Amino acid sequence: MLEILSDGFKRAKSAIGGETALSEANIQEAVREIRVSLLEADVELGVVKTFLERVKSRAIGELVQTEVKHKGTKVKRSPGEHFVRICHNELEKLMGSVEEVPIIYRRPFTTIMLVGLQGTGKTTTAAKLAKYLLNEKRKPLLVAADIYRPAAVEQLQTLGAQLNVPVFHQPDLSPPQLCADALREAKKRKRDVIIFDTAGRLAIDDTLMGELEEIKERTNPTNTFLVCDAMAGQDTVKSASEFNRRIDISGFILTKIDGDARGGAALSIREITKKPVKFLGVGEGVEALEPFRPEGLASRILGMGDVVGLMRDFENIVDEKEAERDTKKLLKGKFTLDDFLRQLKSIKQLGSMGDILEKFPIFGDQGPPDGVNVDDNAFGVMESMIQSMTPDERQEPQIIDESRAKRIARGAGRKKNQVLDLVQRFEMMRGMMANFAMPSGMLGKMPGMKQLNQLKQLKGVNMGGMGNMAPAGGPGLPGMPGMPGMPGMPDMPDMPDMSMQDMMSQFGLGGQADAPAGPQKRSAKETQKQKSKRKAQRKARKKGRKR
Amino acid sequence: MNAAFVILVGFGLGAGLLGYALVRARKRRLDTFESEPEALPIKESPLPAEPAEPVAEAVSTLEVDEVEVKVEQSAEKPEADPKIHDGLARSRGFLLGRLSEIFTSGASLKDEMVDELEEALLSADVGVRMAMEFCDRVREDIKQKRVKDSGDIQQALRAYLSTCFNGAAKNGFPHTSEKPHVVLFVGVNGAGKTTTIGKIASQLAAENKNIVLAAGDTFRAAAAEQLEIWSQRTNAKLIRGEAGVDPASVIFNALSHAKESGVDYVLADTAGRLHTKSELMDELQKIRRVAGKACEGAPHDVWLVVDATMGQNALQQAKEFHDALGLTGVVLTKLDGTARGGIVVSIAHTLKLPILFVGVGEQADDLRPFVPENFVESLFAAQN
Repeated sequence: MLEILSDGFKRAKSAIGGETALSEANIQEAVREIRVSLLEADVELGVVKTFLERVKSRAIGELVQTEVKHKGTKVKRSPGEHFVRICHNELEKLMGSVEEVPIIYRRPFTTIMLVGLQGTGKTTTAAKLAKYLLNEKRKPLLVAADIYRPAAVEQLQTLGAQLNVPVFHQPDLSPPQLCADALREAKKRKRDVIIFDTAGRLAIDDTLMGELEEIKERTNPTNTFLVCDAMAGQDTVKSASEFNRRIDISGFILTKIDGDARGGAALSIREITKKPVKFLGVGEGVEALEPFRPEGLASRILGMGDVVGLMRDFENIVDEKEAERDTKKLLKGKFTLDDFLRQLKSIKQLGSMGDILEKFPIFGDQGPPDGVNVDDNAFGVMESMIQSMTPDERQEPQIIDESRAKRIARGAGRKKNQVLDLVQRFEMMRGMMANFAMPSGMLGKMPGMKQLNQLKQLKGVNMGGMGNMAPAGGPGLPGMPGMPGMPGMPDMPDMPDMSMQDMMSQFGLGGQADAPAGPQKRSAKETQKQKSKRKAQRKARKKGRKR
Repeated sequence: MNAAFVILVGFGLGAGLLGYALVRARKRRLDTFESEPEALPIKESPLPAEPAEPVAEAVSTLEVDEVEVKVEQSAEKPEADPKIHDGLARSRGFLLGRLSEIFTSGASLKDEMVDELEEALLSADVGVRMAMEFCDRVREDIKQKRVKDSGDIQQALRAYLSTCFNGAAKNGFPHTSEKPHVVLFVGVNGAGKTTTIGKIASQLAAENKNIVLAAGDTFRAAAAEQLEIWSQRTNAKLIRGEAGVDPASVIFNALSHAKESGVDYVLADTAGRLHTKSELMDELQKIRRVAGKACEGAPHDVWLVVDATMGQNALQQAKEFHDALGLTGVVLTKLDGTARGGIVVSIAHTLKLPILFVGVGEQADDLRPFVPENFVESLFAAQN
């Protein structure tokens, strides 16, 4: 399914390639492809339409520059990039932000009412919520108000016993009566959060919906959560809005997200009910409930692993070529100081190396070891030295002898030995990289560059956030030190995300980390990549502003 | 500086190797993806380029007299089934509700019409591929003037959807000579396996069959209790194990018991599981193997329970379960709501699996044999 999506976006991209202004006609194909992608993800048709209207109205008329001067070279830029960028922004907007806390607490006790269709996982979720509340140092009371499904009460009682959480139930009471009684019970037992597990019901079942209204009326729940199945299809919107209309839900919980369903329904519900996602059910154990994080879900619905990867492709088609060239050069030992200089510049744009280093999980909480020298000035020093070289010297650093070094040192205001040291280290790195180029298959396949964006993101996001983005195949791999890195891993949506990604990010970041300390080494390539990426991004932004 | 150097080199090498591995992995994945579309009959069969395929014929030539007959029958069938028919009651005739709006009064053919048709299909969860494929062909037919009016399109649609269920000729419960006849129920969490077993048990009980229920869901709390209640209602023997025991052992005991006491049917419940959890899918395969050891030929049937509210992921589920176990049929549950369950069209078409029953409520008799014509009609029932 994801490959369809990615194909779709590739086609979308090519469909509007070469144009200078986006028009109804030239984005038609792209719109169609995105429509398919979203529908494949079970986003509701109406929501898909609204979304596409928004995207279209923003995109049409926008001028797209197809060529940009970039460091003296002409670079082509795809208008598809612009279009996809707009899509991306709109989709994020749809998913919305979650500044709200998952559960609103109230004194003397908080009440949580769980409602939903049959089989969405209300009872399991009730137990998971109880566990979550225990971890929050609350004292939950479970109320078994599903008197219809055989053994539903027993199920909750068993789960309650496992968690050591009391379960309130009295046979022969109507659910509203039961819930009302539960409030008294809670007071008596000094429990401060009450969770009502109601029976699954169809939104069109007037009698049972009436029952929910009555429960709501009699208990005035602080939180009313609709429990939704991540696998749900087009109908979800209908039932969700009906639940919302009748009992005004305060948010919803998306269950079974640990499968491979893209969960487009969540997006639909969010859009239609305007209510936030509160929790995600991520597995079968009682622990498997997580407060909602928008990034993960949005990217999952979008198939962001692919889309983002492709967007980066769009953005970096050119840079990529360049990076590939650099990589090849590097691997062939033809990397020059000019290339190195470019990389240096781009790595500097990432911000203070100290900042970046601190965020690297590889060093843990203690920060980088003492031996690692985090000196941002080192960049400037190297830059100045390289800039003092003649073009010939930059192309072939080996010609730098004592007297040339002396001259360069004078020009840069440095010592001769510093120049020689730089040249020596550079040569060493070049040699190492050339030796490294053994698996010939690797060569052409190093699109690299992509990770620059991610690095940029990382700058803002704390490192713990990395893992959070993983579920959908995630934000891709930040670059690797020596290697140009993989593209956003568009095609590996269900890699063992977390671990792999964490690993990769560590490595990638490790690479970053190296840069400041020993830029002479691998960092060169990366630097360059990052540099060009950043440049591309800035250009794109500028372009955006111009129009 | 030296420390930095060492770290740098270490990471460089590590990352390089990882990078290489990833490139390979990615490439492998790409290869798999590329080959996949071929594996999907859905993609190939309805293309007009293949005249051998009945769907293609039906749609591109639109000479489908037999289908018309079929549909006329179906207009009456729903009456026998008021519950399913509820949704249809608003408009009778053949393609109902929304669809008839689309095609009012043989209006001249417009692209918007086809667009709306596509939307109707999509809203019913039929799936993007199928809906678009069909509608693209209709558009082409309109262009080529192969269809004259909306009636032609309706015929084509009926023909198309009916062909999707072609592999699904049989419905209802198999009446076989094997004793015991073992049916294994599988599906994702919350699809309605246990309830479906309960309903089938009570229907078989009504036919005076001897039934054993095997409580193979030893994971979910009180799943066995739930089945026990059904067993009391239906006077079926329940075989269960302690919570958390290997479900295969429960099934084995149930089959051994069934063989000794000469019962007619064993209905084996299993814990709901997501098709992505390979260890749980392995567990099902083990159950299947063990069943075969306890009783030759068992399980005779493996039925997937699919929730009508599910979207496109249900097809993936069906594929995975089918790959793992070799399904012999599908039960569609929760069709009493507003969900249309259109995904079973794709399941039936792609995997050539029969849809056996539809669940339309919580009571024992709320499980009906699947009638493709009725189902197709209800796909388009007026949506409110």
